[in-house]
Amino acid sequence: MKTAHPSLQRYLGMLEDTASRPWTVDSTGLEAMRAAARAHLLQQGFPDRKQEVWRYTPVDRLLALNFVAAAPHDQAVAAPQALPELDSYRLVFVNGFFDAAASHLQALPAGVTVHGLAALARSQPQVLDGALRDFPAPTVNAFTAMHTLLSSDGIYIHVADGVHVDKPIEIIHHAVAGDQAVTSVPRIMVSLAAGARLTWIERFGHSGRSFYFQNVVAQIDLAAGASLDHYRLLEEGNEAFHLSSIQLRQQGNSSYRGLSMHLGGSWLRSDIQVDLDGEGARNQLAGFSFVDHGQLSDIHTQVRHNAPGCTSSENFRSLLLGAGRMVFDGLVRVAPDAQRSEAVMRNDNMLLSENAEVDSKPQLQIFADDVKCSHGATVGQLDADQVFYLRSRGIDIGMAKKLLCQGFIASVVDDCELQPVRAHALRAIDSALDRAMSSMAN
Amino acid sequence: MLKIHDLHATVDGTPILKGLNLEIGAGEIHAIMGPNGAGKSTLANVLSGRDGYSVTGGQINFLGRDLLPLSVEERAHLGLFLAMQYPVELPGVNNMVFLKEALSRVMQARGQAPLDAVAFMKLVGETAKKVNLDPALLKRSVNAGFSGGEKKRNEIFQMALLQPRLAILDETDSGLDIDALRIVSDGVNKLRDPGRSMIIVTHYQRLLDYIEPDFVHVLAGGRIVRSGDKSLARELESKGYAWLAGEVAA
Repeated sequence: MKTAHPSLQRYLGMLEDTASRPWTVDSTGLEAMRAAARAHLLQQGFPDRKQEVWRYTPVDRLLALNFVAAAPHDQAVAAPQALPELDSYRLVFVNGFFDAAASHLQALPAGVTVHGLAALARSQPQVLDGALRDFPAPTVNAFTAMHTLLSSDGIYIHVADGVHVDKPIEIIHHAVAGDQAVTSVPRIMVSLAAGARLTWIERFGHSGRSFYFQNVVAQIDLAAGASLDHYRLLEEGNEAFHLSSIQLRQQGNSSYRGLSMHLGGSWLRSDIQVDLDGEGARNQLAGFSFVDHGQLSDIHTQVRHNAPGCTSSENFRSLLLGAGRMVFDGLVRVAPDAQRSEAVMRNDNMLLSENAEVDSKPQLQIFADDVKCSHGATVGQLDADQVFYLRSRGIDIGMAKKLLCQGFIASVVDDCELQPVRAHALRAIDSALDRAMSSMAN
Repeated sequence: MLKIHDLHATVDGTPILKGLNLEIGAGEIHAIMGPNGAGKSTLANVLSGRDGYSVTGGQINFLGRDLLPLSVEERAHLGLFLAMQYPVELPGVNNMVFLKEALSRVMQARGQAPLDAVAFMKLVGETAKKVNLDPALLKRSVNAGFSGGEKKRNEIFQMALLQPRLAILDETDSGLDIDALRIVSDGVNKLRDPGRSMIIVTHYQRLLDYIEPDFVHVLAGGRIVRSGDKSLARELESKGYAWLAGEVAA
């Protein structure tokens, strides 16, 4: 056993009061999960920079902070602003707890099942156990283990065979931080049966203090021929920490398209693990990070081609200001039997300051011989000839740079088919660029 | 309109322009010819204010103002336009957003109210037609994936839209086949106006068959070594630049 990190004791200490937690019911699945997670934490401790996937992530900065596990919020919280012109089924979480009253559960169409996990544990524990069996809690690292130990709410979404959900399901993760900084630990489980179709939006934001820690685990199962479009908008508080672990399994001919936008937060990390388990599965991961001074945006992807004839593509771009830092760590693994695999991976980064830093590590591990795989990464600055071209047409230098930055991320944002989400992202990027250009001008 | 007096300029510390004098009146078209490395493109870039071109001596007066202290965009606001030899591609930069921004800044500088969306679209459509530009190109990113001819045509289109007082065409004919050359020249000729002057920088006389200049200058060794009317261009074509070598050395 490693020397216990002081934070480890503190976090394990948090578990002592689990008796008062809503999800502590007689769920054998849950108990087994927690025992495994506890063992993992005690054995492995927290990661440090000697571990490759944490090499560029300052875990100490997070562990030094004194977060406490969030409790269910007892006051009604003003519902966060909806995205303009987005017609969706909204599900609201406050500090990681599902707020059924603020959510639109009644309107859900036939074939779509949505359960808050804490409520489910009380009303139908056998259903919860079934869901947990379907989604064995993956202990990927200390933070997912911590998540398993602390998590006492979440959501289970199931779309039945062949059902095409008419409107997007939008989950709003709202952090309401008081004097004591809290860590929110929602567990998200999404399961699409054969041929089902869903558009799913997740938005992360806050009101009140901007200092908190979102630790999210999302597990996604796509049965044969299912199709999921998944939009993630991370607009966390300036001092907030955010860690998302997404575990996706895809059966034959299923399709997943994910777009992650890291738009704000002190420390944003998305770990995305994909298993392409069925022939002909298609996976597309795209993302954009706007990294302001002093912020860290951290993207880790592992796409495992376990079956033949699957395609995957990754396109992640970032714009960095001040002493912002971007980490891209992408791995595509093609198993020996996964012939006819196609994979492309790109990561392009634009530094708008001399102090910004990018660590980009695209990797391919190919064990099959009939594959088409490529990867590439760039780190660059604004092109002087392009800036000159725009200025020579009368466009002032700040606007010229802004147009070029917008152009740089267009290949990610323009792929966003959901107009209200695209418009929202463009507005957010636009105002961030305005701030950036005015600070660069000074 | 434009007065250049004893202009000296360096690129990376190397003197390129060495005492260049040139005067251009309103509505005149001047061709500047000369061998490779004479400083033709340097002159075009110095006029536009591009970084990397240092003026080490002399004056440039444009419409009664000292041009040299002005930024690139301020020169554009005054009515200077450079049609580039190698227009860059701007992937992801929406053409319409670009054109609207450029036009409104230039119009604002002229004291004109900005156009509303409908008037802007109408003007863009009419201008594209005038210079024979496929409007489909305007739906793409600026110059991205354009052929050489399309890029040059797009330069002329932008010039037509922005209505400059002085347009500098830097080797606009390079890389154009004869049909593209004719289309580009037709566009330029339609923009001839008593209030608009042009400087046509070219290596060959060919372009001047289509755009007839009022004056032809030979730039060699960083200075104008010979000026004349359009017949000078023909003379150069038959004799080459070598017969002016003596004047370069002088």
